[in-house]
Amino acid sequence: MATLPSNTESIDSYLLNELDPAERLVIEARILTDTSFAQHVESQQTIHGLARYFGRRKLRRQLESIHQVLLTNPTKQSFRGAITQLFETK
Amino acid sequence: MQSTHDSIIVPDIAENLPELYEATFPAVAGFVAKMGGTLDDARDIFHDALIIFLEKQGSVHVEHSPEAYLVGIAKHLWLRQRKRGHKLVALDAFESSLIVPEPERPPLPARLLALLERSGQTCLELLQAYYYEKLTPQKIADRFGFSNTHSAAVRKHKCLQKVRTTIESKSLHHGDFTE
Repeated sequence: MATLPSNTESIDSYLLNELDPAERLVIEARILTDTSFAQHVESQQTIHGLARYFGRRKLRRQLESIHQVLLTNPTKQSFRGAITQLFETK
Repeated sequence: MQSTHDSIIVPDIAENLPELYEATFPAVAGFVAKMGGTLDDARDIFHDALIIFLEKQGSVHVEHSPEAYLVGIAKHLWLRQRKRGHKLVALDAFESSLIVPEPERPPLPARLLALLERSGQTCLELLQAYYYEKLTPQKIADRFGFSNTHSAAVRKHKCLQKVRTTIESKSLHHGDFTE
């Protein structure tokens, strides 16, 4: 069943907590009374979860590459020295 | 399912990530070293802490430095990981007040995630730029090469429909995708 763009947008606003209490109630009432709408909300929530999952994975890779640069790049020698010293004293 | 409104990455912070990393890693590494952890432990904990911190940027109080937040979050993560047989961690009032979320499980079974990646990498990139990084429409148009923000919005809507159709059809018709 096709969903109108406006539905998608209002579901987004609901999931992102951007609605005021009255608008929120309207969505919540519709979730309870319209199973097809409720399924769209659930799928869209899964998509937000997917975006977060892939976003975090991308961020983690970015952090790993920053870490590698800081601990191997010759221009970061003093940083590397200070960090390794922390662990050598143990 | 967990709500999604805590995924707030402030783009300005994300752009200065190497500087933030360099400025704050030593404090977290110092804590982990003091607790008897290794450099790898420090890196893993710091990455988890940084992700939590970046996602919470929209709601943190400005009176504490990023370093204070990151060390506080790292302490919680360390406590969670090393419950027994390790040194106790002292938390001050600010650190005790931090709420550190549990790690989240993947939102879909691994095979369905792999399928989505194979069939729609660009769509996933676009959706994460909207919902996770929360880039402005203009930045999204620039990054993905759209001529204007309207084209970006239309494409995002199509991606949403496409991914939704995939999820709904696979969940309904393929029992082997459920774990």
